[in-house]
Amino acid sequence: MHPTLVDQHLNAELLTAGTTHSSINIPEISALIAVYLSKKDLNSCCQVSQSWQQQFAPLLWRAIKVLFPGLVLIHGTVPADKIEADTAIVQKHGRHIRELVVHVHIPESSGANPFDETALPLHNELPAVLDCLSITNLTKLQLAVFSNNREASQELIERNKDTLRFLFVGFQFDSKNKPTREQKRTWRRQGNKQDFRVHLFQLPTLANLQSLYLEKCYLTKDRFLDILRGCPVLKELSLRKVQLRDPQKAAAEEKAPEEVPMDDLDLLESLIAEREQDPQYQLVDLPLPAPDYQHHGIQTFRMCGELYLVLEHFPNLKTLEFYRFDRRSDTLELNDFCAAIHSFCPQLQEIWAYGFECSMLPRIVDSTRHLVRFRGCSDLKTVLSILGHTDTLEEANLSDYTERTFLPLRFLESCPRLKAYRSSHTSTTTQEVLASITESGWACKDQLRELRLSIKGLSPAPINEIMVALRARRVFENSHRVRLAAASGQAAVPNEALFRTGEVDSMSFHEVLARFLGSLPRLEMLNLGTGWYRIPKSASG
Amino acid sequence: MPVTLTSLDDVKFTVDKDVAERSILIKNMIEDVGESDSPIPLPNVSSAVLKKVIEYCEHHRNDPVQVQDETDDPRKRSNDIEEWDMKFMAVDQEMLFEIILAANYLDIKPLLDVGCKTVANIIKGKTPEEIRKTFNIVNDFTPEEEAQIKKENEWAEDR
Repeated sequence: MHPTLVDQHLNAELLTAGTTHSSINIPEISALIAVYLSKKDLNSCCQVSQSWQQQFAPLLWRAIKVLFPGLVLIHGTVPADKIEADTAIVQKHGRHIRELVVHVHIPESSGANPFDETALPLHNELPAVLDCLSITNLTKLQLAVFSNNREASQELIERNKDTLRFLFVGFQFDSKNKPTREQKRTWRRQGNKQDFRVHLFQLPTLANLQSLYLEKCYLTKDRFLDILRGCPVLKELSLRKVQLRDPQKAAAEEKAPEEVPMDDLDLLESLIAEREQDPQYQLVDLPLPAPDYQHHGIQTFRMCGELYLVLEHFPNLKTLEFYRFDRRSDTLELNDFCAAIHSFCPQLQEIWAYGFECSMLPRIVDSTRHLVRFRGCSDLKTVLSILGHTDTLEEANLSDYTERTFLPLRFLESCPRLKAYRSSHTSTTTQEVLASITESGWACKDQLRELRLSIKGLSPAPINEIMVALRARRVFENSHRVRLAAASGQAAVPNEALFRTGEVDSMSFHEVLARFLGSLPRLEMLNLGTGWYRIPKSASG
Repeated sequence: MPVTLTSLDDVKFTVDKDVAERSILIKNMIEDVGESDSPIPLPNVSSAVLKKVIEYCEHHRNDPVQVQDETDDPRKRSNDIEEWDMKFMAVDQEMLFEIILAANYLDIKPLLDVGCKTVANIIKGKTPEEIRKTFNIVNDFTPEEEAQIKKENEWAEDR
């Protein structure tokens, strides 16, 4: 036995025997207990005794949400008015706050113009939490605030710049008060050229920041790259309604707020549409020059509603996420975007496209060199593009936001590395499935762990018979992920239950399918339309 | 290969290696030292507690290695304790806290989790006075201090 090792363990945990509840007085253990307790329970714990107060007050104050004013209260929410009542309390406990959400909101009835700061009753009423000097240990900060909170927000970030790991900065704009077309015209005439977005303040160097979310603001592209330079360990970046302007254009706009009537904008749109029709604008992928600056840490880039032409700066990108793309982007932009994927993001392997206008997806999927995981919307063309990656594809989740999934059997037959496949409704018939499993065979059969397949005309009763034959147990969504993750680390089970095609004639479809699925050595999770079932390891052995 | 463990009160337990290695501490010790016949001293764990811990490790010897929960939800559920674990944890308070301490020291994450869930379930829904009674704790606050804490935490009352 290594003597120093034993000494080390002896010294590490000198236990305080005697009192029965002593383990609650060890901070790491009280923290583990606290994750299962509500704010109300934590409050009770604080009132038990001096030592419990010391243990539990930091846990009660650890994560705070301040919603203004009086939104529906959710777990852990501090109503702004109660916090306002005694800012000294926040000041006293501010150092315990590690996660803070401040979310302001225009009252529905006000109809205020968010750019007319005098019209907003917020200046003095905003949660004092923004100005609280004792809040200096934040790891996670979400700020959805108005333009007149810029300065306080900037200072709060500055005070927490060394600890922050997650930062969301957005300028809140209530959708119910979205300006009408008429209002927009008026504001434009008044020279309000910000597209109803707010100029992003300067961010300090954030040495530990891993995730950055920006929303509803504008900044120059140079400033944007400066922010990335100041966040050396950033892994995840998300942009929603962020305008990246080039400096000359921004300077020109700030000097001369030139009026652009709506009619001209409409004309511009029609010109763009015309240009899209013209084949000479359909650019081919050309080798592009590398930019001066690249961020080597960013692995995930999340875009909401529009394409951001910044991929050339993310050479180690692994995951592209798209949300709420309900309209087509400009064809030229899409071309540039795809060319950048192809030229600068050789490691891109995951595409998550939720709420996506599918017509743009085939180009994006085709531009990806090695697609490993795809989740999201798909139409037939997108499916064909995904099937261009049969050699690398490990996961295809086509069940979300899609009414119908195309060619599910093609995935199972042609992708040898496929571990997880999910479809939504398909027009795949029992005959097609039968032909697929008895004649074509599944290339993924030794790898497949998770399958969701809907088969036309297969009713719950035979599905139940299949599950019984596989001794599969119903699981519920919450534990599903955990178990799946656990299952993926398990060793292979030898495949002995060989499937014999000769017996097909004498068996009904569900027996054939059950037998086939039982022969897949790694299949753990199965859903044939009646929910998820977990297959015990022994069923296939 | 079996492994011998020695408790605080010098009782020896011989268990299979895969059972002992449910404890990350012991696993690392074995890896550092290499195969050896000499017993592993566990000077922080009494024989009564070690017996219970070994019982747990034997029952869970084939469990897959626990992976980090990906979900970012800071609030976790404590109502998903398995039936066997629930019965296993039906011990007096002193033993419950000793098991938690031992699980922490021996680095057996699933046992630590189930112990903390059990304690959380005891605390849940109780008033400060009920918690004091349950754990036999003396209220050492002055009335002023108590009033002050109540005021400071008022916002958390109904959540």
